[in-house]
Amino acid sequence: MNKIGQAISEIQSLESLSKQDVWVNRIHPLSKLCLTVFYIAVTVSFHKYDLFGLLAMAVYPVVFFMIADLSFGEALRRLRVVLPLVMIMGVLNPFFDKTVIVTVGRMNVTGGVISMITLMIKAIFTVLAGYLLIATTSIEDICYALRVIHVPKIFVIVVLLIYRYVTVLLAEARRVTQAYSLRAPGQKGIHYKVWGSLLGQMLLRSMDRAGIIYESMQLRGFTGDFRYGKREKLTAKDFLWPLIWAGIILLFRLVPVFTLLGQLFV
Amino acid sequence: MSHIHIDVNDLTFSYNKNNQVLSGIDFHVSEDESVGIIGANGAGKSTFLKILVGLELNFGGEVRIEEMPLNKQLLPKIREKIGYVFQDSDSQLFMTTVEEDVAFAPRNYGLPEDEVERRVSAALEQVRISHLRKKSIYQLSGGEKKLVSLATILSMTPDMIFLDEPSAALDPRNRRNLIKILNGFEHVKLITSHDLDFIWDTCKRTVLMAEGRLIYDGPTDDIMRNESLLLENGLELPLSLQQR
Amino acid sequence: MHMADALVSPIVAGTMYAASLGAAGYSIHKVRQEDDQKKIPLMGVMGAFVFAAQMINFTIPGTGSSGHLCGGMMLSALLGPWAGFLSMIGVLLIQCLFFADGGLLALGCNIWNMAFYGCFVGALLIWRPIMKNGASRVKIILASVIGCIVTLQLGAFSVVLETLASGITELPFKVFVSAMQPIHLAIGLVEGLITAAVLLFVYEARPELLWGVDEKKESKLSFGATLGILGGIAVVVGGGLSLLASSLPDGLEWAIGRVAGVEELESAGTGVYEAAENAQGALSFLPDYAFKGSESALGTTVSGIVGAVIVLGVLVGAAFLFRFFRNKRAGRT
Repeated sequence: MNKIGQAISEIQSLESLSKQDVWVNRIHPLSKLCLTVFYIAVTVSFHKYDLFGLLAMAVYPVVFFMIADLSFGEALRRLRVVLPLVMIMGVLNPFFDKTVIVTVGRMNVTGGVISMITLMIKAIFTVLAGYLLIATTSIEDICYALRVIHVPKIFVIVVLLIYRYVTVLLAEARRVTQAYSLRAPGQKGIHYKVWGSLLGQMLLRSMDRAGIIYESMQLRGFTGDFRYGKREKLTAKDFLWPLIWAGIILLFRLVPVFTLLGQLFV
Repeated sequence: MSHIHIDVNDLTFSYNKNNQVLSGIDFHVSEDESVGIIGANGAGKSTFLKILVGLELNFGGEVRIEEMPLNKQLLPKIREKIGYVFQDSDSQLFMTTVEEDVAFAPRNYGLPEDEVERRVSAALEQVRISHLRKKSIYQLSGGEKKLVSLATILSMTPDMIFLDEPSAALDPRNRRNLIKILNGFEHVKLITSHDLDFIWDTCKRTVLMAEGRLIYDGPTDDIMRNESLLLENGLELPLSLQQR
Repeated sequence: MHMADALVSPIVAGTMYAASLGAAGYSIHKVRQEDDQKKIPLMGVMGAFVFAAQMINFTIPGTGSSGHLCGGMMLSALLGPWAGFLSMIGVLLIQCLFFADGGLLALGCNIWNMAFYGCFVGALLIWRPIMKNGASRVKIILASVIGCIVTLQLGAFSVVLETLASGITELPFKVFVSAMQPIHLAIGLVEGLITAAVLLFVYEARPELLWGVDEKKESKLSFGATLGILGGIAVVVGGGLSLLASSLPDGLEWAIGRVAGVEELESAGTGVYEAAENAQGALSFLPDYAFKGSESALGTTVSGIVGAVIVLGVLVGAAFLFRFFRNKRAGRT
């Protein structure tokens, strides 16, 4: 059940990173959100054999990590969630795709091997990009960005409420499971006889809590609509940052920069 | 004649027919005073407070708040006058950061953003937690959450403050701090609590509830020393009077 | 079962986003129509509940492993499919942002694979018809188990289609499907039982909280709704299949060949040739650098490596300098 504690501390560390008062964090969240999605889309658009083209995409995470002063290891740890599925999908490629693409010395490199490596690298880059977004942008800012692009308010409110109560309910889940395991030592999970009552009680408590929250909202003037404050005006930085990056990413996508540059020397 | 803040006559309330939660309650607050509401579990204290803020409207009898009858039409006006601090801060504070939560009420009342800003600063200042402004709610301690809860209603600039078990989750230092802050307010205060010492420190007047009725209404000093009355109603002497 | 960003192509991701956003738009419309303010905090807290509950391990009797709660089905049974769907999207968004579970690009796929099937198919086509004439213990178990199994089967099948259409895996369709579906049959059964256990508890403690029970007046509408949902699935699955056909012709041919039992050895010669040609096209973006034989392919590879080392070296160096000077400046002030 350590998973729950891990989840709580993960949220905490991301939250404190994104609340730091540094310049990357102050860039408009919509810029960062769009840039992240753009980067991910471009990264996954590389053909499965285009390993070197793909490698050029390292430019964004590498540089961003350096200038934002973030921990690379922390970001890579997040790979553990997606890697298993990606591995399953990729690891068999060498067995199915035996087309020889390149012969290095006497070794034949097959398409399957290359596509497997490409897939892994795509996974790494996309996860890094996701981390760069959430480590520099708070959930309030992301929700603000969603409102700017006219995502319906009701959805944005629900996201914020989920986020607000995730930590509360994770802590409760931890208490409940700890109390359970103290009285049921040696069990790996929850015995099926108490599946319903353990979760069910937590569920009813949560529903009651929702009722109190609704009362608290009503008592403070809630009539079905949330109002938010405004942010400072957009600055040049908010446009320049994503545009410059988008330019670099596009350049690296369209021109095999690595290969061209290497040819100057080889 | 002084202004009547709360005027309750023959209040009755029940969730269903065979279970009378409150009956025959007469209760008046006409000065800027603090009133403690004490009683054993299930005596109806919280329900009473909830009725006064209009969270339960199916009551019998008459309730007037700031000389307005308590009904659906006047509810928005009445609620602007009352700040209600829930027992569970985590349920009260539903926004993600302190600043957003304190700004919730003034924004919902449609105030312009610079006024919201002023209210938020003032409310945080009043409970001396300006330094917590940018923090996330979940990073706060129990004591801090209670003070933020108080700030979220102060930003509405209410005339009256109701607190439900305010000292329940506080350590002694935070509890003492809360008493100090509450005693600095000039609002009308209604405080329910099992913590009789807390009531004694914050309220000059106390009402005792038992089985949905008011059975004592008078000076706090008197009831706190009335051991037999307290014992009869499932309570004990305040700790400060108990002998070790 | 969360799809990762790396497993989808932009086209597949975009298609699934469009489908999911369509369903989300409809849900928002329905929730607004219900106009129940109380539901807003409930959606938030229940979303958080599902999130937390999915972290708890439930021992599966007779095995060493454990299962988790099925969110979409449970949320719908309590909030109704529309509010439940929105709540699930919120959960998936937070999972992808904070835990890298899924990804921003693959979010559309994940919403469809997990939330849509759970809330629309599970709740509207399975839960509601079963509960139409009142709930009972047996009905709740039945609806939960069938609902979870069906939604997980659909979800798993969609994962297969989305990955294949994205050209990510070389796994033949048949192998892929025959691996995914049985696993998810077992998972669905367990999730169904856990979900049933929770809903049974609710049924006994506070039966009025269950959605869609005794809703006779709505049964007339459900035919249209059924058609709509089935149509939506058909469009997406069909669209997925045609994408698969267009973006991965050889992959699909191979898969179909396998399914049909055609010996792939016969066409091995041409297949390899085609694949190699594709690979060449992919390795060189500018026509000037197109190459014919494997020697020049080697040349390109070497150039690529050299170039990569140079670019990344310069970048890392520059970033180090940047950091160095910034820290120095920070140290001075």
